Amino acid sequence: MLNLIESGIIQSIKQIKGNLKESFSAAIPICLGYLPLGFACGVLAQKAGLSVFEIAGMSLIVFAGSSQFIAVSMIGANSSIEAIIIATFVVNLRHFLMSSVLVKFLVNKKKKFLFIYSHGVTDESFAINYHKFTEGIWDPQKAMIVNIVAFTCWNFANIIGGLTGAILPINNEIASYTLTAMFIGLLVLNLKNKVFVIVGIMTGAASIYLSLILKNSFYIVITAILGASIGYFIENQMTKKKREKNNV
Amino acid sequence: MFSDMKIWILIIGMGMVTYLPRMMPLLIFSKKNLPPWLESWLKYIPVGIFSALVFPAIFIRNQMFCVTVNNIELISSILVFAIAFKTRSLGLSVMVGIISYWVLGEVINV
Repeated sequence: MLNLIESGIIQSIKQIKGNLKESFSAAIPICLGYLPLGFACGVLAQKAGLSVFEIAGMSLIVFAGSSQFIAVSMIGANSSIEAIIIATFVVNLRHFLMSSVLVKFLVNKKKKFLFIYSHGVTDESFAINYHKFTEGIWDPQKAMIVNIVAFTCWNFANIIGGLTGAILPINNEIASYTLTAMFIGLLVLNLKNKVFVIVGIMTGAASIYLSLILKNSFYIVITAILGASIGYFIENQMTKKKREKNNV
Repeated sequence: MFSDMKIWILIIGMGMVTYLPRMMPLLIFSKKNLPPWLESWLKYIPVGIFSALVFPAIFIRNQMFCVTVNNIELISSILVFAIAFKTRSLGLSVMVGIISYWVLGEVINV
């Protein structure tokens, strides 16, 4: 009996260890980008006059890279609080779409889990977890660990940046390119059939145009909605044609 | 620069407008099944988001559309595309991306 319990415990410890390992390795590309970028964000915030507590508070409470960069530069430019909050809202609205996509993988989870999970939804954690979920090798626990690892990296880096100022020499271009390379990989892996390829090409062209005229991250929301509508329309047309063929 | 009080109001305001869009869909949709049309519409959201994060990052420089040989983002990205397509490995794609970006940066020196 005792042996059974013991082996049960060992089994579950092994499983947790396995989960941790998988989640950590999935989060590596995210951390490679977050550590240097978070550091840069902390440095800029310090230069804009924020204290280390405020820097830590912002990265812990907001946890959204691009909007933190925008906020810091707006604070430096003496913008109003309302303007910064509106800009943050617009820039981060894309997470609404990401959570809507993720929800089908998180059905029947407790509210508490969802409340904590929500805070960890970023472009990067969404991208990695979505990819893993669709491959069928993922579960909510592993996804949560990815979120927590990413969250920890980002906040750690922000605080170190805020504490030290620009002492460490860091190449931000490589850091942000790391994340771009990750998104390219995920884009390619998600082109599962012709419809996805068409959506990818059309949204690619649209996003270049929209980002030039809008100049903030809201173009991501418009591009995604456009892409989903194109994909949905093509899929519908195809099923219609199939039905007509079968009827003839 | 704001006063201490104002900075915290700002941070909490930013936190709220960021958290709510992240949380609402999970809270609203987690207990019921989405209608089929919405499911198939949402299926194409990720590709749109990935495209939007990738294409402007590699084609736009200083607010301009840029396709030249010294656009190292673009050249590395072509390589990353090819590697990802051939190997289907995310880790390898990222590695190749970082190395080629770094090497090209040293060579072209922009």
